[in-house]
Amino acid sequence: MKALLLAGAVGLGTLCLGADPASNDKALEQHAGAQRLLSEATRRLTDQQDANRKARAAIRNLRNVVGQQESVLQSIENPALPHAWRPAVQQSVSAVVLNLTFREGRPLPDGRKLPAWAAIARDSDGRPALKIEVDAATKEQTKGINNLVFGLPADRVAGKRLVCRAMVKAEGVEKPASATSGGKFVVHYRCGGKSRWPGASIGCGTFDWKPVRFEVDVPDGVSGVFLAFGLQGTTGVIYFRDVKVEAMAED
Amino acid sequence: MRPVWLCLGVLLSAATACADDYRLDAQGFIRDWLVGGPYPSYWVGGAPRGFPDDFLAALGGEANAEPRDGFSQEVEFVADKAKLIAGIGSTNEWGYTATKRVHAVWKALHSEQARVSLGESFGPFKEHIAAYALCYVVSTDRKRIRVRVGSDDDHKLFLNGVRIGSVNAAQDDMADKFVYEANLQPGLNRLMLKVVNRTQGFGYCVALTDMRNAPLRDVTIRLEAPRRKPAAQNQSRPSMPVDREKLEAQTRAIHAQIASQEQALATARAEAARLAGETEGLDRRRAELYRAIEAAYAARRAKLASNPRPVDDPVAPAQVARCRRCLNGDQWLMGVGDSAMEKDEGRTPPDPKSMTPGVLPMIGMNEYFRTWYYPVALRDAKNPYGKLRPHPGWEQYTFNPLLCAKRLWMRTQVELAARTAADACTLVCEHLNGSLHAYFNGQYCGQFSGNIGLVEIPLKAARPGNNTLELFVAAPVELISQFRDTWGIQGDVYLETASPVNVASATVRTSWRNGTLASTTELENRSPNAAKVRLEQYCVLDGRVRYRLPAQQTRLAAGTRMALENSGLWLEARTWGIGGAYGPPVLYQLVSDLYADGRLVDRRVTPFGFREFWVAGSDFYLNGKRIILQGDVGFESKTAGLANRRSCEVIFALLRADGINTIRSHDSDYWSPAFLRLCDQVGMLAYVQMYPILHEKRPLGNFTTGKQSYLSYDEWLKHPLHQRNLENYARWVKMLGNHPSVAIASTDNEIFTQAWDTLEKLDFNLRNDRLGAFYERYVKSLEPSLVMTRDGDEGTWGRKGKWQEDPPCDTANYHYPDFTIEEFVANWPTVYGFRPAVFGETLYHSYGAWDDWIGAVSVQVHKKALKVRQVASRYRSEAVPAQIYMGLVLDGFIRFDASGEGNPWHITESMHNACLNRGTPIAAVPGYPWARVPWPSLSGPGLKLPATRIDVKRSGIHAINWFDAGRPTHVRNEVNDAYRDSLLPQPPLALPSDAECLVELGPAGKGRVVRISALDSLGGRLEQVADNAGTAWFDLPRPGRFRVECDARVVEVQIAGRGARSTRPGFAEIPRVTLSPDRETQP
Repeated sequence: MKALLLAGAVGLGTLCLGADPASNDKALEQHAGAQRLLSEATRRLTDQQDANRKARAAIRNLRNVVGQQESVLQSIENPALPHAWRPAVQQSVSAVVLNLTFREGRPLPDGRKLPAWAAIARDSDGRPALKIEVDAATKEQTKGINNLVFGLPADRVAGKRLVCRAMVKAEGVEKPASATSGGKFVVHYRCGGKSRWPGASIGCGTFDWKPVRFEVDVPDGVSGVFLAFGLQGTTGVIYFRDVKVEAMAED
Repeated sequence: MRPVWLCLGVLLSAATACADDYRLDAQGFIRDWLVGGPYPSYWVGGAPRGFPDDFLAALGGEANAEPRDGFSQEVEFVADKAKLIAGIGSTNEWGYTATKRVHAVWKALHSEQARVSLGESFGPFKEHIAAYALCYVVSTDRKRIRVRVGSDDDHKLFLNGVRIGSVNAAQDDMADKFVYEANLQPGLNRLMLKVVNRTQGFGYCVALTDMRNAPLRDVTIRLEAPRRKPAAQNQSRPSMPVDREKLEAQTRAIHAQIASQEQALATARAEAARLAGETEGLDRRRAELYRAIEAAYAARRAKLASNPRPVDDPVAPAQVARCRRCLNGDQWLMGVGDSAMEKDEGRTPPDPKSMTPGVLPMIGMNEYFRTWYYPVALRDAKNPYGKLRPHPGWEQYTFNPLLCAKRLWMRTQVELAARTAADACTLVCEHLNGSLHAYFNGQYCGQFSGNIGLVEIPLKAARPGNNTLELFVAAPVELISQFRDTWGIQGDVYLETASPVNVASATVRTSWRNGTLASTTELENRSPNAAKVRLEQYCVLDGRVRYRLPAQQTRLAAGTRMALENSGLWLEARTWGIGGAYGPPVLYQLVSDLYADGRLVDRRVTPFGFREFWVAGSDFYLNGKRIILQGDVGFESKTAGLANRRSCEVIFALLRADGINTIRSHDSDYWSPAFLRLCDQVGMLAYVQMYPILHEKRPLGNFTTGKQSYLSYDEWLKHPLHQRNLENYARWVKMLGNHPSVAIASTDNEIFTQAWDTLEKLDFNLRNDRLGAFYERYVKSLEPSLVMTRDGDEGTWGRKGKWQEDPPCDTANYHYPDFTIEEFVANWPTVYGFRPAVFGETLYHSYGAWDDWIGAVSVQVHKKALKVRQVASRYRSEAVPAQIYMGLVLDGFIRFDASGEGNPWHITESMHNACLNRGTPIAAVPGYPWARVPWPSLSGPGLKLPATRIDVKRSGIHAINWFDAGRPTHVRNEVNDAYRDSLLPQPPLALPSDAECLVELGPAGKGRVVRISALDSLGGRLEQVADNAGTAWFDLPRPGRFRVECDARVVEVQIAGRGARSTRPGFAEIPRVTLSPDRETQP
């Protein structure tokens, strides 16, 4: 068989082993045809699901608009009523999407191993924190990218406002050359073919524990949402703890 | 296991179509190609890797590859988390979290158009991809040809294995943008084009012509070479053993998967139907609620009653001293001043012999801008500050270097009658940017410093006969230490005379919802004695008194000013609207009659409109009806912009016909109230803007040195320039009063921009944003009824995403949401926290800086029209409350082509190029791209630059004819139609309600004062100093009967309103009154 295979491999025409070449071809064609059909079916389904997601978002929006209009109408008919036009829809925290508690000697909360430049260590206040330490050699080796990235569930955060919080401390974080580098605490998502990186300003240098916080409205139709934090394009030590992402919901 | 061998070549036999011969189209474009893709173009280091990467290396390289129809290659779209996600901001790919493997398949493609669009060819891969297009050009002989290429974006072109051209840049696929010369061999010539898409559109076009640019007629196109290379031909299937049973099992599994997908699809479709039903119901409810809201507003208003009741009385005539003399014109002498004078309240003017004639108003400017405003050229094109040379065709024109002087003395003679000299004389300037010290007969009278608002300086030491008025004007450059393009006295200059006890100003505020009319009236007593005064105020329409406010009495001490507040409920007032369902732009006159010690001493007439514009929920309402603002912010022309009433009259009417109901005056535009007066009259809404000064020195140049290079928020609030901002804003708000056209006011522009909005600058940006919010709230506190916005405060292009100020501004303003429709347009009420969304700039204009200055070539116009239809119709379907386009006036009204039919002057592309590149004159427009403006007089209101730029390769505003009576106003293009079809139709503009006339005295009348008095009972007097040609050009507040007099000559004339002639170009139809010693005529 080996000889025959080799013979085939060197191009001895349509030699086959115990099979009708025509039926083999037919099987291949049927397989390819099925794949095409599957691809087409997947595309149709995905398109429909996309359209439905947009429609659901539009309906949420319309419900809010209608609610706001009803509020406007009431305030015209009864000016004594307090104006409730903005926001018509109150938002409250509905779900904690990500809550990272770092424990000494353990892997990351999602089970991943820590990279060499990160560790979970007890700080001088006795509480554990994620420590990211980057020296010049590490920066060179990692091309300056020393962020930890955690995926957020796109289906739970699409169309929501996220509140991202963390406690941060820094020691000797060098001022980066690039404006987009430095201490990072950001959300990344893509929508409509564009990447977005909303985040908090962390600053550089040395500072004690301080809270950082930012809010981001994640549009409907995002493809992948991530929280990233750490150092980028710089050296120094940065600590994180109590990293939390909450999704706001409409009451 | 039953291994089988795939028969080589079996599956490609369907490619017979590829052996066909195809023809070029009539213009020589290749319409048939073998296209392969997508291939990944990683974005690395600010450049697309797809350009250098050779994806066809396995086929001998992209220069030599001969793939066939159906050939496929597995390619990877790598999603390396470390690079794509953690490497924040370093790459920009397809959004996958795991590497995708897809097949780049080669397929025959016939394009119905010359431009081959690939935007939808590769499924979800639309950006950051590369593709190849291959064909074989069959030639009967050897020949030299031109290959004409357009590509969006980068491209490489190979002919017979040789690279004949490449461009590594983001660009549009404009036909013939790149022309490569090459040799065709007899027989087959392999032509391989590689195109890389960065973002946005993806496509290309290739045409073949001979060396005289005629399309090739003797070649055909094939999509495959006739000689098949056995090993390479079967490129679509691997030559490897296959387990048929396994294959069949896999096929069955796939079918099961398909069935499952179909079931899921059926479920999804059922949900879609349900969602559609719910959407329809909500849309219906929304529409009902809009109707209910409008009805509720009307019902609430119907419960109110007027108090005092309206009246219908004649206006009592009045004989008062009030008179306004326009000092615009060429009777001024000017000389350069020096910096010592800025602090000098004494008068140290230059030697009169060194002063030369000058014209007011004028645009003082940085030398850099000389060629922008005047028909002059640079001797050295690389040195914008260097010496000038005459522009071809303008050899007789001499540029006045005083226009670039940062300090100027100006002097003119003012002749006053004995009675007038005893009145209160005031210097008024409607627009001054910089500082001004005023002297009358050598005595210092006062100063002004700022960049907006009326300048009002009481003049002292007036005497009968000749008086000398001297002005020292300085540019604001030293004060602000920032680059300023223009300065000086750019608005009209008046000498206002009135009784010493007079009405200094009257401001009207109206509320449609409450039915109220409120006035704030400033009374002034410049006499040495206190006066007991009575103020009677009433509203006049069509010469009849319609409503009277309660009379007020008070005592006005000598040398003081006092403000009186008055109000009434007036439900019957006719509202000011933009036409159609909103009603016409009715303008009342508030007449303020002031009696001192029982005698009528002053009558001030203040036009106003009764209207209210407000925010309710996420929408705007005008007089109880919801309104969507469809605006334009494209007045980029320096010579035909908002400073020029004539051009505005023509342009506004054209814009309205295509759906524009709002004009946004950008901060760099004109700030005179003249623009607002026109909007008031014709029913155009105005969206006005003024930036604050935020820095003492330019902050960004030293930004990298740290935060200390700018003053903090708190430090700034103690800085003198902050005080200057407050004064400017207070004057601005006062200026906006009485103008019903003002719908939205903006206090800043794009504090967060792509260039500035980085994390490193976040503190700096937040500081600026807080200050922007501070000034917005300050303006709002001065006039709570103003609807405020802050242009681009919603994080234009940046990462900010949400407003910072608390409480937020009335409106959410986002610039260029057309780049991010799904994020910032879809469901906008939710996105912007249930405030009205204002897209303060959108659809950036398409023939200029961002588009390689290509001009309104047909393909670009067509693409822009498609984009307008796509975006504007989306705004319409989403009911976005305010859309300000950048703009119809730039992208419409022009075509740049060989026909010359795309502009009123019939200037063709070749004429334009020959004129600008080789100096070949254009007979129809000597001096092109400048056209002489045939001003009928240098006197009268408005800036009067000698020429206007009509560069037909620039933008539409340059091709709108407002000055040449012998030519049409405009030509339309596809973009005009796109706007007209996509926007909500708007009612036509009203015709201006005022009048004008030209009084001709003859050359002997040079410098004489012409007076026009209204002979109706409302009265009023205007004066004008005749220019050196002896003409005096008057803007009159209304048509009617007037007395025209100069010296001892008097004539009474009937002067018609501007009417429809205001929308026609030129000045020939202005009514003329000849008033010379030997002849007096009337229009």
